[in-house]
Amino acid sequence: MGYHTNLYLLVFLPAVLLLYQLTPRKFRPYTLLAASYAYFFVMSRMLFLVLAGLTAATHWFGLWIFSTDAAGREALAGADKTQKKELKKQFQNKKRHVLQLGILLILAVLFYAQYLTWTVGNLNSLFSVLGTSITIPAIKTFFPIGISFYSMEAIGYLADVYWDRIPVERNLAKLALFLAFFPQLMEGPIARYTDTADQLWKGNPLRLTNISEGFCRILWGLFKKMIVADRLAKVVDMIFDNYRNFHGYLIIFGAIAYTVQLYMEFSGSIDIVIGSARMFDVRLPENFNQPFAAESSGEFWRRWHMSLGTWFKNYLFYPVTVSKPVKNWSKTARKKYGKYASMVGTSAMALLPVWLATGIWHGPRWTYLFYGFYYFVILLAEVAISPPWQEFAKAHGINTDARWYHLLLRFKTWIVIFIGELFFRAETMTKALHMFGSIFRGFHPDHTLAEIFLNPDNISLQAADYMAVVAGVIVVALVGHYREKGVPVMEKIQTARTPVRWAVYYALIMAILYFGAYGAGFMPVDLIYAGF
Amino acid sequence: MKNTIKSIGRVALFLVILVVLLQITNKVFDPGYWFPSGWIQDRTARLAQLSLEEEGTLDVLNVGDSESLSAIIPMELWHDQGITSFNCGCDGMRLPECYTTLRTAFQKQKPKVVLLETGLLYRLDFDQDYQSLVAENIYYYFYGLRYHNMWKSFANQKGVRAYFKGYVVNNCIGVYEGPEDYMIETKEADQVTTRNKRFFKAIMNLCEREGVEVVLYSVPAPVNYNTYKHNGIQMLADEYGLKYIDFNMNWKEIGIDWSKDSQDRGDHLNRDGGIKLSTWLGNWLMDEFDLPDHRSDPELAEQWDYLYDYCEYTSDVLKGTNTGNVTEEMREKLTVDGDFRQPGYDR
Repeated sequence: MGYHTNLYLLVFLPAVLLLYQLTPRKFRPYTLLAASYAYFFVMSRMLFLVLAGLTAATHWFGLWIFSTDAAGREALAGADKTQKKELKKQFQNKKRHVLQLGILLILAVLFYAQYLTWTVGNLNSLFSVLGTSITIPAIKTFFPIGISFYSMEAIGYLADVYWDRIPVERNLAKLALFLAFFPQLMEGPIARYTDTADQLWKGNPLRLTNISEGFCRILWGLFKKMIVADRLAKVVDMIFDNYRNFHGYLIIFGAIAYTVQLYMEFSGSIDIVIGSARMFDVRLPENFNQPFAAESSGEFWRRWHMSLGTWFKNYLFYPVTVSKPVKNWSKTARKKYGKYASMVGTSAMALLPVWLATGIWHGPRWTYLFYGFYYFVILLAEVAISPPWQEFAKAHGINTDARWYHLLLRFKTWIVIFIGELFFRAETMTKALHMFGSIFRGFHPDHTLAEIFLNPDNISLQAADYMAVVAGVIVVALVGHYREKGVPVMEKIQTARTPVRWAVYYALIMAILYFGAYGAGFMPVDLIYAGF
Repeated sequence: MKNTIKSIGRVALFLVILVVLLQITNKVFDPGYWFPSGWIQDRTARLAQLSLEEEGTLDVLNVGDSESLSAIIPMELWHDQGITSFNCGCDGMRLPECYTTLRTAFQKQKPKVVLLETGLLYRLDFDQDYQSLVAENIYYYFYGLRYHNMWKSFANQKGVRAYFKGYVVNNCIGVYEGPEDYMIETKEADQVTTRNKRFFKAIMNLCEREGVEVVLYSVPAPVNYNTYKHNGIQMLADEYGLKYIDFNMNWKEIGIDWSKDSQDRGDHLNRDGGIKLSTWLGNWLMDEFDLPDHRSDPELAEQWDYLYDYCEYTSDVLKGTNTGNVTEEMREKLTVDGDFRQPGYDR
């Protein structure tokens, strides 16, 4: 029951909305919680116990951190000056150990679910290469949906309690709803406790304006997914599944097609998620902000899967940057090698764990790890090159404000993105490297494009399908262009007169129903990020 | 309260306009109404053509997944016994789709027998079953949505497959080299799940209301079928008092030769296999049911004989291809008066 399915959109969501509205306000959060667990049960059956267990553990560790902190404060209040420093340190250490234990537990469950099989497989390969006869037997694991998402939220919650950014949550149900809210369960966006917990617990009544906004957002998401992404999925599958048959620009085309597919699919499903939540008067954090308008890789990641980037920034990048070893190194390096080298070195130390974690967060694959490392190198290069380049540009009179210059930067960023997505989509490094190498050979295909992309033996798309894709991409690009220019398109639709607003809704509905890829000849395409 | 009523009113008005719009598009995408039914070229084509069949002219309907699609050849049933039938099976058909197909068919047809291939009773997927259930209920009322892909024919060549009362010619040979005694003796049964039994019951109720007799049958498919399934279906047939023919038990009797009659190594029958099965089934149907021989009806005979001949001709042209897809060269051979000759149902 993915968010794009009729079962979710026409049965589950309306049923929950109705039930929610019929429930007395005080009990509405419980209705949402029950619905969320029901949703989880449909998707992962008894594995809802994993979510329930993680929630209980997070709640308990939160209380433990808080009580340790409270005990420390109490002890400090009664202590004299000489004892205070020692006591403070002692309680701070205990508090940190509780946090570490909590995080370790969450990560252990995540590791068991996501990475154990992969790790065992890799260890066995290593043992085999080393010529040992050791073989670790395969261990049966489980994979509850969305575990990568709510694990992050749980860790974020514990860290925020630890840093006193939020008060500890004593209400288990409230924390449970924050972690399990059904629209967010499978694909995020990864929220901080302060983002959604209170909104979810308010139990505000349904309002037509919220329903209307949510509805519009859902339609927009379906438009992206069903008209563009699900068609491109076939092109991408054909190229990546038969990658040895493709060379040169066809591989480049495959990488571009996958990037567009991933954007349309992921941002489309996030639109559905945000729209669903909006109907309950819950505003979720945004996950995309015209990422293809970015002029650097750093900017791209501030616009793409923003909630993941924000999470890593808050809970990994900053803590690493301000950690003692990095601070000490930075100080020493500044004295020894100068400001520039210190800045680059410090960035490297903070960026490396962030990007390796970003890579591996996507799942147990070497290509994901490479993907993370790739962006580490690119971003570090941007950090390193930027100051000398600015000086060079200034010295040689290059107008960095010129339009052509910005277009060039954007084009450069696109190339970086496309290469990254090529590695991201390929299942193995061998395949990814083969495909990357193939770009530079075989520019003389034996077949015409029509013979490849319109051949029913290769692909079940017709010329009309490609026309629909192009038209869909143009519409999405135009909307993105206006948003980038500061025109709030969605808001404008919402504030438009009813006939205009309804006309937009009907146009979107008809476009989805008649030009969408569903029904005969199309297998429903699963949500890509639901697998992470 | 006033605001709530106002809000409900607005939502209701929005939905009413939406229904009106969908009804209008129903007409636009009504097969054969504005656009030739041949423009529908996907798995919904059969249902579209079925809905264009002349009222009350079909005595036998076949439903099921791709197994049944390749096994029942209406042209053969006509040619040998004068039975008017339609193969409305679909690739990957699920039980909710089977229900809607029959419901749609019964709007115009009063068949005496429904042949239900048992493969679809073993399709299991909670998500897909209920998605299909929701979709099929929508398609039933807003059938334009079922045929929504028809617009693609504006941009594409028309007609890439020829349907013969639902049947698509497939001459490919994929030799089955596995054991011939694949139906081992056992009393154990792979029972039909409760959910599928519920869907099946709905189909049975529908057929009962229409006074149609249901016959269960299983296409010979060594890679797909076994005695456990046979026993499970037999139990279901006994429960409802239905006739059940398992061709996996008597494939030798109907003359199936696994070196020639399978299109994909023991999964689906090819045309030769289909002819053998249809011939046997035609005789059986004539013996078991009081079906009229329509060959003496000149109007029907003209249409059906033409289709029979054309099916033979298409089969000759398509010799050597592995699907019903028509190449450019074949298209030329099958083109009459500048248009690909889709055995027509257009109004």
